[in-house]
Amino acid sequence: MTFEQLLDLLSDLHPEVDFLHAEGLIDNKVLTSFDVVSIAAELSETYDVELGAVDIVPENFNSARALFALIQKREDE
Amino acid sequence: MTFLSGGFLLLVGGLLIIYYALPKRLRYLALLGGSVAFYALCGPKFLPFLAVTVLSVYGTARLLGRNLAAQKAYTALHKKNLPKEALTAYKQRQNRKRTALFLLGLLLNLGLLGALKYTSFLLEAFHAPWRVDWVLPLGISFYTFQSIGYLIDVKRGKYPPETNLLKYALFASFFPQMIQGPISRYDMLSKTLYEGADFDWDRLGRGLVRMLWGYGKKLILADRLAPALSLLFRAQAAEYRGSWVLLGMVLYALRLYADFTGGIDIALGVGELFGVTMPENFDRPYLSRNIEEYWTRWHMTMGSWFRDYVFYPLNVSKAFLRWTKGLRGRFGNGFLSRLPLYAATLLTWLATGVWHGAGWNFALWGLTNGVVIILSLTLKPLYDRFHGRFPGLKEKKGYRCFEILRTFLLMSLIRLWDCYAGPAGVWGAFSSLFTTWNYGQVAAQLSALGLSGAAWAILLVGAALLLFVSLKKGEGSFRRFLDSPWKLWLTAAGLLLLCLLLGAYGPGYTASDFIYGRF
Repeated sequence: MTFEQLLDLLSDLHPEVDFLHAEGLIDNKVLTSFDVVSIAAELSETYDVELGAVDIVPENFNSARALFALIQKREDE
Repeated sequence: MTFLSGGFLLLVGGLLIIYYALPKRLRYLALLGGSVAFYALCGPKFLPFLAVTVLSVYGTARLLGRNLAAQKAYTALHKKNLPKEALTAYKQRQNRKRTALFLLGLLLNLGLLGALKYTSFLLEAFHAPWRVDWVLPLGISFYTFQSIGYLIDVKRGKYPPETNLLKYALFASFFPQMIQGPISRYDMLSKTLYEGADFDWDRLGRGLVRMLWGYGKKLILADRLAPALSLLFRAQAAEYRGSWVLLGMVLYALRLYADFTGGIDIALGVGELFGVTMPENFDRPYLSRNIEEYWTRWHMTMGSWFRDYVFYPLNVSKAFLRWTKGLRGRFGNGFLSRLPLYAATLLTWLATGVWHGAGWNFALWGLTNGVVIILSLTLKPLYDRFHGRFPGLKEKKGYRCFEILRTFLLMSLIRLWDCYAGPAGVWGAFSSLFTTWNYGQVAAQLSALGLSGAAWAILLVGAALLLFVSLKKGEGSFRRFLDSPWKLWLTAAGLLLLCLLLGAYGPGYTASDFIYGRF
């Protein structure tokens, strides 16, 4: 999965947010718990990246870059 | 013993002296001693149940930690000389061992909670020929969930287990949070729980202000409203229908807020006296603009517990992901493909409802929340389309007020499950809102609730003050105001005076229990 594909996925959920630069997506309540599980489902279905419950912590979802780093880690495993 | 008893204040006062007299490294022992004393004074027969939870969770977590550490060492040692498949197989074997251990600890504690809390209800529900009359240990739902959260985190490798049994026992039993939470996380609470704070007048003053603010909410507002609400919600109160129900909803919202946030203020204030920072449990929930937001601002530690340990794991479980995949393959990205998400939402809310207590009302309260959340998710495209046609409306002050009022009324309606016995009672009250038009009667007979004119005035001013503080807290000005020492101590003195003058207490008066103390 590329970073651009992740940005597209996030933008589909919240077109009004600039995910390239936005930080604190969870802390500032930009992403809700439903967004988080929608992202996890989409990653699993379209990109075959499976996140575990242990991965779903604010640090991994607070910015697109943090989420992308997590995805790369899971892809490498 | 409750927060409202003289014994509690004596215990806190005595503990403060002992705590600050001890060397820093031993101060946590004073807190542990105080916690055991508090729990024993609440009911010595409850202590064995707490001990079972402490010992079983501590032991299980230690074994999990030992297994994880051994796996790490083995992997590091054999990373280069063993094939990848052999290492993976080894990790899988260890993971299975940890899962078995974890399940043992989990089932023991959930089983204990379940047996004590739900046996009586289940026997009755299934018309069993015998009954049990077991007393629920104080705060069992809170300390069990806090302990299970810790166990899950250790199992996930989020942090290593606590090796000191006494320190762990303090985490599980820290007395201010025993009655009604908050449900703390080990990695957050342990930062300040064991370090032994230096004595600081400023912190002491802040803790006192927080406690007195909580006592004020409880004694001046919540307990003043309690008798009137008992009258309104009593069984078969056929005369209190229609607008009486609406009035009851609003007054109950005020009472519940004052009671629960008041109790949490006292708990957090006591913690602050000892330099212990516990998590906030509320973030001005009645200013929420929708139900989803409300549940991120009301009883936050319980909400985040169910989110992190039930909702997320369910949704990212292999079974749910496979189910979603299958549905998307067959039905595309529409409503049906979201069935797993909706099922997880309903299960989480059912569990949340049942956590509150054994009874159909609790389960139905949880499910109603889940259904309303699912409805709001399903209708989101319509909502977005509406706002697409009226851009900028969301940011208008009037519209924001409308959203806040709508959410307040919706949550108050859902709370009818708290107020009336059984589905028939709730339905009778709910339907009367639309069929019985008796505003005039309510206005003329307000005195029937037993509240004097002065009591109504106090309640109105109190509610307005809570709203004012909520609005100000958003800008941080209330905290800044207390930065000045003389303002801090003056506020403490003022709050104490208000509690003494206006609080409901004294001879002939029995303080009502904290509502969340029942759970």
